[in-house]
Amino acid sequence: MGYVGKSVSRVDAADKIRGKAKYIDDLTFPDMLVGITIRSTRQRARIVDIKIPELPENIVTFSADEIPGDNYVALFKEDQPFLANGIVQYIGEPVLLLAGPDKNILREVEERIEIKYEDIPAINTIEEALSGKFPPIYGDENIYKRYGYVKGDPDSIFKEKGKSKKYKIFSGTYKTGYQEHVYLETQGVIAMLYGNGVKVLGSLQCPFYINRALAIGLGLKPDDVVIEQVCTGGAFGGKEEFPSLMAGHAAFLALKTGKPVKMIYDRQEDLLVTTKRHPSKTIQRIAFDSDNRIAAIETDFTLDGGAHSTLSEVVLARGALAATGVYRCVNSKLSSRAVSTNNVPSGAFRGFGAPQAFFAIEQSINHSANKLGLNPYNLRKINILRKGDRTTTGQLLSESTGLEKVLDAVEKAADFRKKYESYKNKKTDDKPLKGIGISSFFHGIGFTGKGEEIIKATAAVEYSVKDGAVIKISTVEMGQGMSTVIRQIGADSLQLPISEIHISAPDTSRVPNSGPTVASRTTTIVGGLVYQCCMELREKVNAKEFSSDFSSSAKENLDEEEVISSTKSYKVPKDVHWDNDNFIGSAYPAYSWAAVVVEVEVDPITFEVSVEKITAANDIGKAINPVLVEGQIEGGSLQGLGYASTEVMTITNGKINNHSLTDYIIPTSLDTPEIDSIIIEESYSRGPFGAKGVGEQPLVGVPPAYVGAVENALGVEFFEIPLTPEKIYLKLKNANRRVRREC
Amino acid sequence: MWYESLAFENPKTVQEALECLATDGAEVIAGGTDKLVQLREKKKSIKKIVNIGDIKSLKKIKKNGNTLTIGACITYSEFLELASENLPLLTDAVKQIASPSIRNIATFGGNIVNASPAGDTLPVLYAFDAEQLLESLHGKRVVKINDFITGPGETILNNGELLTEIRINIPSFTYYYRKFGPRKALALSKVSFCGVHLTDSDEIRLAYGAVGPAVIRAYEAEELYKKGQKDKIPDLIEKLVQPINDQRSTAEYRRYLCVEMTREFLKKIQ
Repeated sequence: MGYVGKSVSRVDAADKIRGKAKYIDDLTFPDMLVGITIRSTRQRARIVDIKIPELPENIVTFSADEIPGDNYVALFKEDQPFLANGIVQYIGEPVLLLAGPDKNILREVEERIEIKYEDIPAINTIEEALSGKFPPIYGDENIYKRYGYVKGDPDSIFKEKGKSKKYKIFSGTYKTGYQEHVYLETQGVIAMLYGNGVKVLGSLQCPFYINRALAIGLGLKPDDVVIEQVCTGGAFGGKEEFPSLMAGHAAFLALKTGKPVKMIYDRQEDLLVTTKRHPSKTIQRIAFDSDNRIAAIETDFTLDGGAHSTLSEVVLARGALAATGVYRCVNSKLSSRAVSTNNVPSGAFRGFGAPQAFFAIEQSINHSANKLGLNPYNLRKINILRKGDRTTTGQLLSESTGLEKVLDAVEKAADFRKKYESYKNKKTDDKPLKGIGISSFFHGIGFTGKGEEIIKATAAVEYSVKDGAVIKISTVEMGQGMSTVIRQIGADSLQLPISEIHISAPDTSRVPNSGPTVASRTTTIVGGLVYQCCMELREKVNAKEFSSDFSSSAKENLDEEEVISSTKSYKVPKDVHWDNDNFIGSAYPAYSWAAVVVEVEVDPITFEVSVEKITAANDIGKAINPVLVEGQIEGGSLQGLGYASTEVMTITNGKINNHSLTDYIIPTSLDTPEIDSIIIEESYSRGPFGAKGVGEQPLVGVPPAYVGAVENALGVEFFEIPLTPEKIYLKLKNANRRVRREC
Repeated sequence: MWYESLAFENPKTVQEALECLATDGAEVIAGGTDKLVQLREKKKSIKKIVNIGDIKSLKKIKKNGNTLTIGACITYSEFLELASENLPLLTDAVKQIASPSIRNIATFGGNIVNASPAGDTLPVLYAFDAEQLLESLHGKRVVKINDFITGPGETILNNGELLTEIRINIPSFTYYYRKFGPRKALALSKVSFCGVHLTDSDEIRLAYGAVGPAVIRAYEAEELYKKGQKDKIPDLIEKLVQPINDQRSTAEYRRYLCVEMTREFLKKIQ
């Protein structure tokens, strides 16, 4: 045996390649209807009147006042309605639902429905949200959540400026834009009557989030709401909280009509109304002492949460915790907030607030290095966290801290220092200008702060000699390889062939709540529980020691069909404490560490940027399946590159301007550079076989490395992504740099 | 799909196709890569789809002396396979169109009739004053590309009339071609530029895509070159192009690119 550490082929690959896998839109049920959503065309308005024309008998409408339970999508707060309740807060907000046999006819009916609105002044930007000049959308201050802290004495250091000149202080304002997930399969669900309630099938990440939201929205007991994930074609966080809203819609229609109802968004609807990555604005100051050590960091971090709170408060927390990056910093000050605007709600997206915060801190470091006359690698080497150090929140890094290793690995593999200096000092000519950039970052594994403690993830493993092992978890396969990796963990824990390890379908009536499939937590947290369950099964058949054979002990101790089982829930380790109000203690159970180098060529006339190579090193404790880890690194790097360069999504008066994949530009295979993936394994004692997570991390640090590379090529500073040739042109023009040559 | 309920004709000759087109609500389709997307918006008025992609006479490509004749239903892939040597400038443009799968079905005729300001073959066709053969039940006519396209998505093609052939007269020339898209494949142009130097007569042709309602041929600039005033050309181009701000780019950057590409071209032919 020995599956862990080997690149076992994905168990779901063959069916997907052959087109045999059934996605939600491939499924059909007798008498099934189609549902559509009638949406707000106004950014912020009171609904004065809804006129519904006379409808054919087979078309059904559903409005907010018919909702059987409470009209909010349960998550953290109660502000997002399933259907607008007298007021709309963004263009695209659901107002009314229609169900019928034919989608085209429903769309014709939609055109005849008249909704009268009375506009309210809308909030468009972070600045407007905080101006106090508009009636607030959320609370009194128009803020979903704030976090702040002062560690040490940053104020006295920043005040020193101009007096003793003991410190060098640099500052900047950094901005990041929207990012759309572009999962290949758009959002989709089917709801139907089931038992005393409903069942919803769908393309989703978090079965139990939907279970809870629907129990509240439908006024049903959680046991009467069954959620089952079906084959899911990508998610990236976009199917974390959003499907709860859509599942509610389909369930309302199914309950009213008594028939199964399918709702599938086409790409345009999906692009226009589903959640996006939070746009951000960060104002940061950083002080260095005479040894080029970071003396203090001051950060003001703001996220545009859009019209409803969704997951903004936890996205904000993850971002706020990344404010000081991967550096030792005793004196630090943070103020942060997620604000409410009349834009489409922002939500979960791979990285979850960290890409925004790391863009700021890594650009601060890149810019500081330039001003201090240091190589950006060297400045990082002086300041990075090492084993035995404490993070800004005081968490002791007692093990599995491979930061220096990943940083050194990319420097060496890409020959960073030498290239950086030679590109910096080159003479300008007509040839493409070469540039190289670097960043270093972490990703906290599992939920932030007390999240894992609150959710108390539970996993179960059953075993019988006849059927082998069945792993019961609500964690889903969404293309990331979960179903293969968890089997590898199960197989090695029980020392059984992988063919005898099965995973139960993620159906809330059949599996315990192992938590949502998010936060880079699956391998470490859920895999860890599966490992513990397997260890208990070993005890049950007297095969506790790894040296003894589970299979033969089981045959000796169990009847052929006798089923033994083990259930384990996550327990917070005794030494892990977190004070969420003051940001003190262990923000995460563990951290994965990464460094990335991006190499570019910039056309000196047109400012088109071609990315030649990405070198990415990730310390993930243990690669359970190295090829799948490389897949995460390559995919994440490319998604990060799109975020940094081409993925422009703008919004004008609440209306998204990029509503097709012709206008929202994700990288294609031709845009994909060579990607050198380096895996570093600094074992984590509490992870299964030493493993930490890798799902989100590879995306997180690519933008600053990309922008750093362009800066290295052109010799100017940039503060905003996506960085397009248009923005480079403007910057150079405004800096009076040559943007026009003699004929 | 929405179009499955529509009547579908699959004529085998131009004559048959013209007869099919003589009825109301008939829409021509060749590759369909633009058409199907557009028809989704006006599906109510469509009654019938007439596929001309199987008409063999429209799938011929031939070279007679200096004249290259391309059948309207030649796909980009077929062109690259059959005729890429004949007009390297056009080959350069075609290679940058969309993706292999789209190049396998999208046609030359479709790109012209679609009349997008960003149409990828158009600047080249403008530079050579390509001629379009139009056929209808009432007869034939030949129209130059600059007269054929009248605005974004607009042409002089009448109802019941079909573009059947594109003729390009190829002189001796050198060229400079650039397409600027937001990424390396599947990209609509921000700007495309085609500069041609006719070596026998020492004349130039300048065509700019995606910076006006239709492709812009810079006739005045070409005249300046003839008069030996090529230094004045970049300033003229700056005024001549009419780019806009949209999701893909900015007017200012597009204008800048047009001027810089013109300079590059002029430098190259010195």
